[in-house]
Amino acid sequence: MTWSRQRLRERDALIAEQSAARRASPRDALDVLLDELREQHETERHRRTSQVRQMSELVSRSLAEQGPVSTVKWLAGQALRRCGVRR
Amino acid sequence: MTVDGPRDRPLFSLLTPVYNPDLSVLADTIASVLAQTDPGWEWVLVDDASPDERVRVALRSAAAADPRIILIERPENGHIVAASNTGLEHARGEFVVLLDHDDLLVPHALERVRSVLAAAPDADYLYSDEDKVAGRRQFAAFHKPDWSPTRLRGHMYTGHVSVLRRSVIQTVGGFQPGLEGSQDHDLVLRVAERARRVVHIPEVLYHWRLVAGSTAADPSEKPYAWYAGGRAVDAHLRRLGIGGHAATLPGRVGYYRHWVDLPPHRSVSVVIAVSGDYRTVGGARMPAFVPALRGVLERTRHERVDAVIAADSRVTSRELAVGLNGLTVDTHLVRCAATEPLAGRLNAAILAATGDVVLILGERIVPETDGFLERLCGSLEEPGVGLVGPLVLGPANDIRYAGHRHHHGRYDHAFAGATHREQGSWASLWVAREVSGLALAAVAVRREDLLAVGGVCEVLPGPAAEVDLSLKLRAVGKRLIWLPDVWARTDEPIHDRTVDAAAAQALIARWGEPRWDSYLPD
Repeated sequence: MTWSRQRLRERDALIAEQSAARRASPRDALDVLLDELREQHETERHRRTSQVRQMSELVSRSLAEQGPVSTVKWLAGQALRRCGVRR
Repeated sequence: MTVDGPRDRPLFSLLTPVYNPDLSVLADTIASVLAQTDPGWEWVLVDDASPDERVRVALRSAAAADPRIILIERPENGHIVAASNTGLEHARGEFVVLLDHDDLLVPHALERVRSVLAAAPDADYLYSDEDKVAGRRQFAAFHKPDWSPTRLRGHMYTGHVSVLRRSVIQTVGGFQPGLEGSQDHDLVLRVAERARRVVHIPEVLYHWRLVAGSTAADPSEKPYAWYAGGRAVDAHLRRLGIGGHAATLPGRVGYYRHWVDLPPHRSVSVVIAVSGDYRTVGGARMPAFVPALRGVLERTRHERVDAVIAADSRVTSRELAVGLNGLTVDTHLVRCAATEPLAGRLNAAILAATGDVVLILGERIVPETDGFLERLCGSLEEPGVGLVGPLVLGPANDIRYAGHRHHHGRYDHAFAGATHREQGSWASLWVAREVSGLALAAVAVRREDLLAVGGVCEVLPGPAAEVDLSLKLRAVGKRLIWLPDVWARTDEPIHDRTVDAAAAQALIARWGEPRWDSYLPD
């Protein structure tokens, strides 16, 4: 059987149908497990991104309201606290 | 001997060659193993004649404290390959877990590997994500691509933690003398050649310590390792029997390039869908496809090449004659209606093509690498490879096409707008690698594969149809490969191949929503 535009279209539709059937069937246990791990990573990344954004907003506000010297002092205090040093 | 337990309780043999580590660092490594939440392990520690007597004392007391620790003391230093092979001789577990003497496992590392093995009992090689540790600080998490055998030839991306089925290690002959420093890369290449399944665990299970003199801190510390790595990749390609070769990437320690020869008997049809665009080159105005076609033909020595031009009715015969004048290859002209979309014109050309391989080229894509055709088409000689694409740069050396990234319901051109000198995330722009999709700006594909998936979809909007071809080839089990050291240049508008929201919805309806890109997870 020779190939034709019509036969290409039929084959294209068949591949799409097979894809839909695969998506409708139950998922492999491994895929489920690995997706859970990816989800955890995604959640953690979101948490860190929002922490960084929050910090960046705080620094901008402090620079505008307190000036650079106070901001640097405040940041140094934050870093020391994170290392367990209390003044 | 393999210690047989219940199928879901395989024994893990941790394997650690030891040579003169810092004592506090070694203590941390020992603590990280003893803290494992999964008790099903043994630990083969091989002291490779450390000059510091305190190391031996520390190892002996660890072995005395836990019967699962097996200490082997080599009478003389033999370097890492000899020490690792000594350890393998004493390992009894079904799986070998490679652990360096200064690194750390996260407490649930083995528990996680076991849970993955329960879901994939035929896995012969597993690797996880990793980060770096300096003092108590962990950073630079490497969230790795899913199994990417082509990328593994470019660098040892699977790294730590690597878990290998011991019977397969034995089959391939263990660690190879002469490849010191890249012995793990070589071993993983050999095991992967025979593995029934390779699984990436997308979670950081290993902290790689930055200490002076370690490759984690400075890859150029052990130059011998990288030459060995290049030899290991070259030998791997020879074992595959696909006519492949490898070499170190100049100035980029630990990275390699490779290529696969195109056999002289392989016929190639260069396919260009022509729309009637013009461009000016060197002051001369000409149909846009002329520099593209001449670019590929002038840079090839392959003899079995023809060209198929699918032109719509807006292109006059005279224009075509001017464009094709002087070409020394057979050229077939396919006439299409002016209303025929790109997918239809491409399909008409594909049906007219007779080559074993079809090289689809956009009419404004000009190849610039010598052997452009050979490099793209040669990569298809490897079984399982279905589509191969080059780096396509814009006029200002900005990256246009370097493979797709499919994530969060989007279908993007990865690294678009970056400069060609950038490294990309974890050297993604330095090494050949698997990708989720490729722009049809320039791709090589076997004609029989193209026909088997129904060519280019004619019911999806243009840019979506391009992505769709990649998805169809992946759906039938093909790997898609992007090559960073084969390039072309274009001045086509970037939006021509951009998948907008409507096109993305059409793709999602057909394929489901992509959540995470398998090959560019971050």
